[in-house]
Amino acid sequence: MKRTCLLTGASGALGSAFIERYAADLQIIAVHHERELNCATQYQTIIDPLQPARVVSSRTYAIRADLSSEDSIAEMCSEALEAFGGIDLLINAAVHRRYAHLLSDSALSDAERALAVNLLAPIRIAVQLANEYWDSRVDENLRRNRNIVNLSSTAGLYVCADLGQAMYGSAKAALIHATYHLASEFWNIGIRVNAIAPNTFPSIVSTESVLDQIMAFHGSEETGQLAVLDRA
Amino acid sequence: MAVSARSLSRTKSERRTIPQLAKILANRRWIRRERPYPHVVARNVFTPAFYSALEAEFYMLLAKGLSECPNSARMSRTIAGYDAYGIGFGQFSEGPFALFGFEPWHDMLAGLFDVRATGHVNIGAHHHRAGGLAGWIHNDFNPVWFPVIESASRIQHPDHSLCIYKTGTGPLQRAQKVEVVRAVAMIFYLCNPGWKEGYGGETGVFSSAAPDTQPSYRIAPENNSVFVFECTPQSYHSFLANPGMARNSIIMWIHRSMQDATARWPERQLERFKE
Repeated sequence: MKRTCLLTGASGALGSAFIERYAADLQIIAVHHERELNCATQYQTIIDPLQPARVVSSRTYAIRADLSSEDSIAEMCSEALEAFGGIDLLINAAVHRRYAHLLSDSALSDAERALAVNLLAPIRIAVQLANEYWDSRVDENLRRNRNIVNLSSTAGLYVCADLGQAMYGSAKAALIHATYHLASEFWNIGIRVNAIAPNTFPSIVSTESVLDQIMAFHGSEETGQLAVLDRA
Repeated sequence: MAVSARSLSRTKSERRTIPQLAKILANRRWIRRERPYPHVVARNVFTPAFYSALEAEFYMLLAKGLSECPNSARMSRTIAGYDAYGIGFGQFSEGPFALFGFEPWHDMLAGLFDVRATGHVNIGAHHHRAGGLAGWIHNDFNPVWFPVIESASRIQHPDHSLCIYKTGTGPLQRAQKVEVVRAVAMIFYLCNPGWKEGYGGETGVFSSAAPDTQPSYRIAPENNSVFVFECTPQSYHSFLANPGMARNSIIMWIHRSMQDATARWPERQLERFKE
């Protein structure tokens, strides 16, 4: 039986690459919001334009959700659990990336959204899944090696001057710290929690290296770890 | 009586200028959706080299300038009430745009929706200046007219000097022209560098033409991407306002016979252009 993966940010570059690589191996629940998914789902198929009768690729299950909304997160988690009966891997890859200098007019215009999507959503989803499903299944969680991977960034580790990353970087820094707390508290229910802090992909580090690290954490026994992927 | 042939060398020309589709398609994982009506979208459609050639040709077209009144040589305001500049391409002898009049391309578009297409094509380009107004929701399920031409090529283009594409008016007798129905529409987005959400200029896909309907999908006009849909009474779509930047595209329709269309849908559902 395929293991079930809940993937946020599924329509982004990393999410699309993850689905392309692992859709055949995992039952992926692809969470997206405004941008459409670039994969086969219950709503769309992938076809070869030169052989349109032949449908290609495995299907993911799509859920559209606004991760800045607590209600939307709760509905998304419930739908995912109802559709597949459990989650083995949660990848928090959704991101709100809008850079603005703090002294510019619009610097803080979407600060709440930046924090909600980049920091609060990963925590809320993890807690929601724990309350609704994982908390009562400790042995099963351990047996299936269930875990969470949070996508942070090197912007959460150091300051890139003049890039306007104050809100983004602060949220990503806090996500690293939240990962340590989640790992500590979820230890008792048999859920491992790790984080990755890549530099910009694919221009500085490869998207493949980020995917490799996600699956390395997924297949390991580690928890409370941060993997930094930066220029060599 | 058929109009005399004008370009018997078309097929040879196509062979000379257009590479095989399989060699210029960079992405053969196109997305097909059935709701709210059958449509296909794809990003990263052509190889970088071929896309660059298309882009260069489009920029040359734009460099000729825009006209506020109809002008066959430049992009001009040709559709009343539509905040865009357009041009019909007619027939190409060579160059990258010739791809769209290439028989395998026509057949590929038809195959996406299993349409029995007639070989009639209409190809053009649209330019929306930044700050352009939204269009209206419509379905492209339109009957249109072509001259009957003896030609070595199955592909036929409109000739407005013989009969106007939208109305059929012109010097030809009834037997010299044929009324067909738009079967598949294509919008290929190009020359929209750096497009981002919020800039607008998407194509809205709607489930209804009712006022205030929100789009089911917003097709982003990202460079080298395409939106293709079967023209049906329900294929509601519209240009969405583009406050952020200009929006450019190549547009194309292939057609089905009137018999084919009316066998599938009541004739009263055809959206006839007004004279």
